[in-house]
Formats: sequence, structure tokens, C-alpha cells
Amino acid sequence: MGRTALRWIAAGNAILALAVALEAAHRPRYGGELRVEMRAAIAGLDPGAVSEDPVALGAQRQWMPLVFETLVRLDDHGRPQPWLATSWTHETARKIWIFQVRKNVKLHDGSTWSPASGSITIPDDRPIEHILRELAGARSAIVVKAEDGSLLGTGPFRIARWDAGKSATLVAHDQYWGGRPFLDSISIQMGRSLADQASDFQIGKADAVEIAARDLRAPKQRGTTIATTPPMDTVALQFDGGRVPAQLRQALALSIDRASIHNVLLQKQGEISGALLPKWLTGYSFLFPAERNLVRAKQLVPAPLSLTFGYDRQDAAIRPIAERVAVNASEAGITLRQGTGAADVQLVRLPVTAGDPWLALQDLTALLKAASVPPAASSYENEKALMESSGVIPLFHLPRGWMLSSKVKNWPRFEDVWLDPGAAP
Amino acid sequence: MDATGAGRQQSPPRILLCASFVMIRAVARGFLLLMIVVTARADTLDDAVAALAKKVSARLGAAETVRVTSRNISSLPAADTARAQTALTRALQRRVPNPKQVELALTISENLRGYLLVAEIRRESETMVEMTEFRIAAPVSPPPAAFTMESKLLWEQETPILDIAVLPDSMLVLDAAGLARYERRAGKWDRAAAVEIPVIIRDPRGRLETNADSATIHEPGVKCTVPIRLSAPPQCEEGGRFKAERNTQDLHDWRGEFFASAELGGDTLLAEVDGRIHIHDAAHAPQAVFDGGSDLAVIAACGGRHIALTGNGDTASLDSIALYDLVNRTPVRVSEPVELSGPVTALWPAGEGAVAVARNLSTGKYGAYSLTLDCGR
Amino acid sequence: MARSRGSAVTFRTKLLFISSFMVAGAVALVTGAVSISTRRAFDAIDRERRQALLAQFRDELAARSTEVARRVELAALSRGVQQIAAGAAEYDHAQTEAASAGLDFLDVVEPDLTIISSAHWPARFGYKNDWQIAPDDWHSSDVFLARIPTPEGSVMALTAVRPVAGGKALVAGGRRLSPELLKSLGVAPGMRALLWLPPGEAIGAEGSIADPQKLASLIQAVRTPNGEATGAVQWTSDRSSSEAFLALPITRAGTLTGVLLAGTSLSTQLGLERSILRTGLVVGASGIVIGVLLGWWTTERITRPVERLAAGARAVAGGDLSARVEVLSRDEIGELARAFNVMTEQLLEQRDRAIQAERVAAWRELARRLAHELKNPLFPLQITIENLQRSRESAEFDEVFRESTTTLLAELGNLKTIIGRFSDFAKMPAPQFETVDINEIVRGVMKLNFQLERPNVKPVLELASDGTRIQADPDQLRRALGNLVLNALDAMPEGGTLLVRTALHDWGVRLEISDSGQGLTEEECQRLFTPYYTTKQHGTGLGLAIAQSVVSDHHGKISVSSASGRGTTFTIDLPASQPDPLAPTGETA
Repeated sequence: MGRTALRWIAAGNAILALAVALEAAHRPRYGGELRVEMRAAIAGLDPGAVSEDPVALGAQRQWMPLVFETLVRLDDHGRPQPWLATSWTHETARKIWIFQVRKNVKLHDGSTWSPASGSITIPDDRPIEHILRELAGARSAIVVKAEDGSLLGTGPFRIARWDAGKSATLVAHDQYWGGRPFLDSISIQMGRSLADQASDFQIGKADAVEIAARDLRAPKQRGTTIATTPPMDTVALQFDGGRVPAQLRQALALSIDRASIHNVLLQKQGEISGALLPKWLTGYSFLFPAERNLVRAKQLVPAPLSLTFGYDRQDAAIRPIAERVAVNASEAGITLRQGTGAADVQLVRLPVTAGDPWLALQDLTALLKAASVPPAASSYENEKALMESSGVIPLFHLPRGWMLSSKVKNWPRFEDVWLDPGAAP
Repeated sequence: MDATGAGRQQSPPRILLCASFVMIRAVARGFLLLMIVVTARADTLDDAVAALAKKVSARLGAAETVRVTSRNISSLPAADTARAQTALTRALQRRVPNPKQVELALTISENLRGYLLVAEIRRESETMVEMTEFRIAAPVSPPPAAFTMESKLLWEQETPILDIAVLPDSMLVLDAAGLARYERRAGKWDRAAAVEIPVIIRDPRGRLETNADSATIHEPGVKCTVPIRLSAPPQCEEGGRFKAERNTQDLHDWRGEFFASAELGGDTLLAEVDGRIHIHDAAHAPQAVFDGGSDLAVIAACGGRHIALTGNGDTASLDSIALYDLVNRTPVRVSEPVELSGPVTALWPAGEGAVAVARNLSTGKYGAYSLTLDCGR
Repeated sequence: MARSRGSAVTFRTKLLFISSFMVAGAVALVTGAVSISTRRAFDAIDRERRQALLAQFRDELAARSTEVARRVELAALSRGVQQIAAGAAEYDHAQTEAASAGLDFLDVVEPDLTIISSAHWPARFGYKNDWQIAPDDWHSSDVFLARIPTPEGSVMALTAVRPVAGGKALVAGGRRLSPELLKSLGVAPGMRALLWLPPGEAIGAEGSIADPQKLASLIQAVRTPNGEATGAVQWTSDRSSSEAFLALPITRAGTLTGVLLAGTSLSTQLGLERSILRTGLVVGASGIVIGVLLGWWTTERITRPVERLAAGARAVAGGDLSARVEVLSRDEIGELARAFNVMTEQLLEQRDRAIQAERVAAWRELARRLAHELKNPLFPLQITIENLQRSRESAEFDEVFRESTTTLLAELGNLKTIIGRFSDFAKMPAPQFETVDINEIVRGVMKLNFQLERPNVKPVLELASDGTRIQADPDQLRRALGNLVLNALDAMPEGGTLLVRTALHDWGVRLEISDSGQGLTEEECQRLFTPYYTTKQHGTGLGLAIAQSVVSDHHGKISVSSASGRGTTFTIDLPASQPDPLAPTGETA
């Protein structure tokens, strides 16, 4: 496949999609370091180490494919496309699938990745769609352990420096099979609050910083670009173990006026939802109710109830939602108060980490510490089962937004991103 | 945007719209569009309905019949919804003695991979769900640019022109100072009369509406009426289509600010302050968003209604106006853009065309242009 | 001083009570008067100071109200609030406007009070404003107190409401009523200002008051039409925690929205009162002690000599005329002691003289009695002898000799009897005590004296039924009793009733011998026990003296009572037991 076609293949798990817009008639330039800042603090990009922090996991899933690639990759329709595997065939006799690996794929140390016999076999104990879906998942990324114990990947960037939770530098993999990226390197500052990121952006210390969903509608400033994704974060209420009975969880869910929060606090960004996965990914999110029914909520609360309530006070989007949730809940007789230690209920952001519902639910199951359920026939049943077992109450799906300096082009396909030094500041 | 892929722009993918789908405002090639409706293989809607009917049938009791209601939350046209409902009803029709009717809510939705038919079988004690995915055949690609839009300079002056109306025997020019009437004499326009209706505001806006006898002027916070020949002072009152002291418009049933608005096919297009065009349906629910300038006008010509949109440039760059059609609420360019000498400061429908005002970056003067369509080219 | 063994109050005790009462009374009066004066003086001063503090408080509150009104008006006119009212601002933009206007609270609301933006509780947009503002106040230009709910709880604030954009919206803003308001007042030491806010919160300069419910009675009092109220509040069990308050209500449309309280600590006043009381107590106690000491010293100076005098008098009464009282002073008491001593000396001399005179009189009486007794037998002796002398030469000499010798022998017998009686009386032996039944002795004597019939005399015995055994010499008792019975019989020559009665007493037995003769005169009674005194024509007159001697030897007492024409009663009191002759005897006074 040519590069043109490849450019249309979704990177990662079809996350961070952006519409194509008008573009300037400039040819990309090689070189430069892209300076990125983000809130998440990632310990590492090892596909086998899954973070328990939702924000960190979401970021990890975003950055990991730059370093560690999979045999197949989901395109923008969620369909598996060849990636490190160029084709796959079924051998009925041996009941295996044989995946032909791409030739001349170089690892980050310059050695050639060459599995035995140039292929990888996988038992055919389940449908190929499932196998391909699984192979596209982050957990199936190709990771080679070097002699010094470091991890080698095949992606367009390699890890030059990683200070867990603080900063990292990715440098271009010159021998990347898909062509060297335009950027020389990407520096990532982690654990930065939105306010600090905005400040750094203003003074030119960063080229790409995150912005809150509600600020996506703010008029763009001169020399900046706002890039957004479809709803990628699920704002939800997560309960601690079985401390809060199902009836009271339902009462809390029914008391929340999502419409007001969406209209005012979120400035109509994102979507109201009662589902864990957004509509663009599943199409059936409307099956999970999200209407407010205060009368019913009051009926479900036999006596005034007080619960400890936790949320990330540094998250400028979460905090006003949490405050509003507390006000709504008080109408149903539920007092949400700050407390120390583990909270009875938390307002969290759960990331949608893949363009496939099953893969996304896998990560959510781990984040919600729910028991893994055997994959049902449909992702709807899987999602429903996960929500019932974890008791989580989704509220909204929010897009992610980035503020980019004008010199950043082709965001966010990092292998295609280039810096235009001539762009107006 | 151009769906053909021709020219220096790449073929933009067909975008399947989500509830809040946002386009990047600057030059970027993205990480990806959500929904490119490129179907190598496609299940038709009919096939999907048949498959769904089979699944639903397996869930029904022996004596149960269904009453089907439907809704569409996808980008498929409304006709598909009716068709799906009819087909499903027919497929689930059965003759049973003492039938017990259950409600079946059919929803046409869509996701990353395509479309989704969702059937909710609602009984008193439970609700069952069945769904089927499908992809429709590749849509008819928008044709190449079918129209040619021509621009013609009508008037040029120093003061910002807000609107212009060309009458059979005169020309009314609404500018930041007021309304002036010009008559053609000896091959040139002479100023015949004027009334002062000053607009002291940055980025002044104004709209001129005329009939046989009078002209109505909308300026920020005020609406004035004046005889068509400007023979009397204007009668002004508070109100009008523009917000007071603002360059945004004021439609009373909308909350929020926007620069321009247009009605097209039951939808309302608003050029909002975020620099994008938002499409809202009749219930004011947001349906789509795409990048565009701050001005738009609907032109009814050549057997259809089209939208003239300005480009994405800022006030310091050249601008252009192109004609678009909305296909599934996605703009598809149907004319070559008309380049202008500078940023467009006003764009209004005028008859079967439009008028546009642009500030000449070189001279600083404001020029009013008429835009017309050549349907044959 | 007579010191009775009973309940009589001594002079010293009376003097002590009187002096103590006088001292205590005087001190109490003085203490009370000083306390009352002190309290009045404090009250007057405190009242003025509280009034001044309240006036200052009111002025400060008015000034802050004006400031709040100004800030809210500015906020209402600000572009930001108008944008909020028009729906053209962020939902939390009120926070910025509140900060700009210097307000703690700011709500921009629709005319129906739906919150458009709230500064202190941004999440409440879309809800109805829940500040405690009366419906009329939403269109009032006044500044008033209102309770405002916040996420942390409700607080009171000075609040004003103003229309925005010609009434299309309303802005309600306020500043919290904080202790800082009270801290800004200059209060004198010991004073403080409080602000009570409904439903029951009170704040002072240092913050919230811990027990606002203790102000309940004051708060209730200000609700009266008069409004102002005063009262004291004791905050803890220690009285010095008390405070006197002057309370003024803050009302709005007839509703109590707050109470201003100016308080003065009563600890100084109470301390002073306690000090006065303590001083009074100390002075009083000291006075009483001094009084006691003085009284003791005084009574010592008076009562001791008096006691000695009394002891001396008792000794004299007991017969010891040699008792003397020591003279220790030259004052009246000393004079009294000296007089007493003189008196006893004179009494002693007089007694000696009386004894001597009595002895002389007794000797004279004895001589007279002897002369009388002896004269009777001697005269016939003389006559007889003379008869013999005359008849010596006559023929009747033998008969005369026989008659004369018979008469001589009879009279000599009488003389012998008389001399025998006197001898018996002179050498009456010491009694030999033994346990005897007095009733038996009485019966024996009566039987002896009524062996011969005495037809006109009726003997009556009224004897005690039991317990009449005493220690006595039976012979001597019979003798004494016999003499008394004989005397009684002799007193009733015409006949009568002879009553002999015995009665038991704690100390012994009482024996009464009563006759119904003609009785004795008083003089006779007085001389009755004198030896040889008799009213009878015959007899030696020793009978009663012997009876008295016997009774005296038995450590008893004999007395007589009589009235002329009504008989005579002799009463003998005999102790039940006699002292051990070997036991040492105490000196008797």
C-alpha cells in the first residue's frame, strides 16, 4: 500500500479523529521538535503494563502506537487493516491462521524484526473477526526485549528518554518501514494542569496543549488552532465496591439533570449519554437511559442519605460538573460531601481507548475493576453486563481538545505532523 | 470542501456525522475522519431489515404481534426510516388468534462502522434489544462543480459598505454612515440623497431590505424604515436582526451568538462565533458542524437552493466565495470559488444571486460585488 | 454566775450572742449598703457605655449597608452582569463580577428568580434563588439582612437587590456579616458587641458564639413592642462569666432579622461585690471574734468573781461560814467580794455568838428545866424531910416516917428518872445501821403505844406498800418515833386522830406523824426542837430533841408544820442508805 493510502488509515485505534479541512498548499518540511504537554502522567508505554488511572490509560493508548505497533490496525471505520502483518490465511488442516509479516521492518535498535519463517500463527479457535480485533488491540503490540532489558518496538518513534510521570522524549525512527516521520522528535511534558499548559502555550513553551471541552467553543486566538476529537472521554459516576446499593445508585442517576450540565457547563460540547461507549463507536448508546426523573429518584431514597464524593479538583471540566451533580443529588435527598479516604462515589473520566467496542470495553473492565465477562454475542450485551457489574453511571461523552500553535501541521497523525517555521506566530 | 479529491485539495472523506463532530479550523490533515462512507461491500437497508426481522421474530411469543414505531438518528434520509419501518412491519406481520400486541421501537442509528438498526421489543416487564449493522452502497458522489459563479463589482468606496441594493432606477448603498441613494447619470452613479444612520461599532454590520415604497435598514440594535427615495428622515426603533453594539445577529428564538444565518431544507445554518457553521434541525437540535467563514447566504438558482460560503481566511488574507450543496448535512462544493481582493465583510442573498462586500487589502477600499450563477457551466 | 445544770443560758453566752449580733448586724448593713451602691454605680456606667456601643454599631451597620447598596448598584450596571442577564456570558461569570464589585455573594436571576449565574454557588444555575429574601424585597431599594445558603452552610449577609437591564433580570448581592464587622468597633475593655441572627446564631468579634441559646430569653424580650431589652446572661457555671446586655432588634417588615447586643462583663462588678462581701465577712467575723474575746475577757472580769461569790454564798448556805472570796480587784466586783467576806465574817461571829447564846440559852433552859424538874421532886423531899423533922417527936412519927420514906423513895425515883433521861440524852450512842423496814418499826411503835386502850384516839396508818427498807438503827428509830407518837397523843387529850404515814421517794422514805390536836404557834414551832423545850406540863422536853438527834444521826431531816386548831404534823425524811463511815467525805460548802 502506498503512503497516500496509509495516510488514510487510522493511527492507533482510530482515536483522535479530526475532520479534514482546508489546507494550505505547502509542502511538509522535515525537522524540528514538537513540544506537547498533557495532564496525564504515564509511567511507561509498555503495552503489557496497563495503568489504573483512567487519564493515564487514555494517554498511554494514544501514544503507545507511535512506538509499538500491532500486526493489524483498525481503520477509521473500525475495520482491521494490514499493518505489521501484510496478509493472513487460514490453514484448515492445522486449524491455524497464518499472518505474513511485513518485510524489512526495523526495530528501534536497527535490527530487523523477523519472526521465524516470516509469519505468525494463531489458532483458529474463534472467528477471524475476533482474532483480528484482538490483534489490533494495544495488548497485542509487537514488543521485543533487547539484551539490556529495554523494550524495542517498530513504530515511527522510539523512546529516547522516559522520566516516568514527568517527561519523555521520542525521537524519529530513521528506518521506520513507513518512512521516517517529518519530526525529529517529540518532547512530552506530563502531569501539567490545564492552566499551566495554557500558560506555557501563551509564552511559547509548548506547541500543543490540551484544552477543556467547554473551551472548545471559545473564539480561536490569533495564531492558534483548536483541534478536537469526537467524544473520547466518558464522564461517569463510579461507586466504591458494593457500599452503595443499586437502588440508591439508580436514584442518584435519575436525579442528575444532564441537559443543564450539557448546555451550560459543557457549552453543548460532547453528548449526553447513559452508555459507557459513545454513539459514534456503537450507535446504540441511546438504549441506555439518561433522562432525569426526580420524582422517581425521591421515591428510591427512603431517608436522607449522605455519601462521600470524590473528583479531580484539578480537572477544570470535572469540577463544575461535580458541583452541579451534588446540587442535583440534594434534590433527591442525597447529600454528596467531600470526605477523606476512599469516596463512596467518584466522578471520573473513563477513556475510550479503541475504535472497537470490544477492545474499549476490555480497558474499561480493567479500569472499573470489574470481573471480566465472557464476550457476549454483541458489544451491547457486553457493555450492559459491565455497567451492571460495576454499577457505573455514565453521564456524558466529551471530546478531547488540543490547542495547537499555527506551525503545527497535520495534527494528530504524528508520523505526518510537521512544523512550519514560516507559519504566523 | 471538495468531495472529488481533485485539485490541490485531497478528496475529503465523506463524513458521517456524530452528535458533536468538530472540524479543525486550520490547515491540518487529521488523524482521521470518523466515518468515510466508502463501501467496498455493503449490506443494504433491506437486507438489514430482513435480518433484524428474523432476530425479532425469534424473540416474539407465539401469540405476540408487534406495533412498530420508528425514528432516525443517523444521517440517512427520512425516507429510509419510513421504508425500514414499513419493511419491518411487513416482515413481522403474522395472523394469530387472540394476538397480544407488543411495542417495537425501531431506531436507525450509525456508528464508526456504518449504520445500525436497533429494535427494542417493549413488554410490560422487560425490554429486549436486537440490532443489525449494515452499510449502504456508496452514495452518489457529488458531481463536479456544476455551476460557475461570476462576480461583478458594483460599487467601491472608503466607508465600509454594509449592504447594497440595486433597484431598477437607482442603487441604495448602506454603509457605516447611513443610507445613500445613487442614480445613474451619464454612465456613472451620482449621489442623489442620503440619510444618516451611523453605526459606531467595530466590524459594522447592516442589512438592507427594500420594497416598492420603502427600505428597511437593520443595524446593530436598531431597525429603521425610510421612504425608498430617501425623501424623509428614517423612522427608527430598537430591535432589528442585529444585537445592539455587536456584530452578531439576534434571532429571538435562538440563544447564543452568530454572525450569519440561513434556512435551508428545514435546517437552520448559523455561522457562529467559533468560526464554524452549525446546522440545527427544526427543533433547534444541533446536527452538524463544519468549517466555514463568518458569512453565508442561500442562493436559490439553477433549480435548487445552494449556499454561498466564504473561505476560512482571516481579515488579513484574501478570501473567496464558493457555492455548496448540503448532502446529508455535509457541504459539497458545487462551484469554483470566486476569489476576492480581500476579506469578505458582508454576504447577502440578492435575488437569484448574492451580494458580497470585500475590503481590498491593497487599497483599503470596500467593494460591493454581485454574485450570479451561470447554470449552464 | 449561776451555772445551772439545766438549760439556763449563761451570762457569757448572752453577752456573746449580743455582741456577735450587734457586730454582724452592723457589718451586714454596711456591706449591703456598699454593695448596692457599687452595683448601682456600675449599672449606670455600663448603661451609658452600652448605649454608646450600640449607637456605634448601628452607624457601622448603616455605613456597610450603604456600601453594599453601592456595590450592588455598580454590579447591576456593569457590562458583565448585563451580559449575564442577556445570557451572553459563562454560567460562572458572576464570580468575576462579584470579585470586581467586592461582593461576597452575587446572584443574577430572571424575574421569576431562576438563577442565571451565581458567584458563590455556580452550580446552582437554573435553580430558583433560595436566599431568604421576602417577595417584596426583591423590588426594594433597601439593604437588609438575608440568610444565604452556600455549599458550606448558610450565612447571613447584608443584601441588596437591583434590577438589571430595565428589569429583565435582577441582581442580588451581599457581603457576609462577619466577625470583622464587630472587630472594627472600638469597644472598651470588658465590653463586646454581638450580633444575633435567626434562627439562632450569634457572632462576636472573635467568631461564632458557642452557646447562642443562652441569649434566648433576651431575644424573646426584644420581640415585644418596646423592642429594647436588657438582661444578664451567665455563660458558664462560674458567676463571673455573666454579662449584662442591652439588646436592640433589627426588623424588616415586622420580621426579626437580627438583634444587636452590647454586653458588659459583670466579672469586675461581681468581683468587687464578692470582695466587699468577703471584706464584710472578714470584718464581721473578726468583729465577732473580737467581740467574743472581749466578751470573754469581760465576762472573765465579771463572772469569775461573781462565780466565786456565788461559790462562797453556796458555801455559806451550806453552813461553812468560813468561806471567803478572793478579792482581785478594786472595782465593784472587788467591793462586792470584800463585802461578802465581811458579811461571812460577821455571820460567823454572829453564828458563834448565836451558838454561844444558844448554848447559854440551852444551858439556861437546861438549868431551868433541871431546876424545874428537880424542883418538883426536891420540894416534896424537902416537905417530907421537914415532916419527919416535925414528926420526930410525935406519935405519928412512924406513920409519918413510913409515908415520908415512901414519898422520899418515890421522889428519889423521879429524880433518878429525870437524871436518867438527861444521862441518856447526853450519852446517846452512835447509831448502828442495819437494813430495817420502816413500816415494821411504825407498826411496832404504834402497837406499843396502843397497848393501852385509848378510846378517843383513832390510829390511822397509811404506809407505803413496798420498798420501805432503809438503813437505820432500829432502836433509835423506835425511840424517836415513840417520842413523836407520845407527843402526838399528848397533844390530843380530848382524843382525835393519829395519822402515821410512810411514803417512798427517790432519796428515801418520808415519815409523817400527824395529830389532830390544837396545833402549835409559830414560835412554838421554832423552838420545838430545842432540848427541854416543851409545851407539855410534864415531860423533860427531850423527846423532840432526842428525835431530832436521832434523825440527824441518820442524816435525815425533821420538820414540823402546824396551824393553830388544826393539828401538827411532824415530817421525817430518812435517806435509804447511809454513807460509808470509812469513805472520805468531800468538803461541803
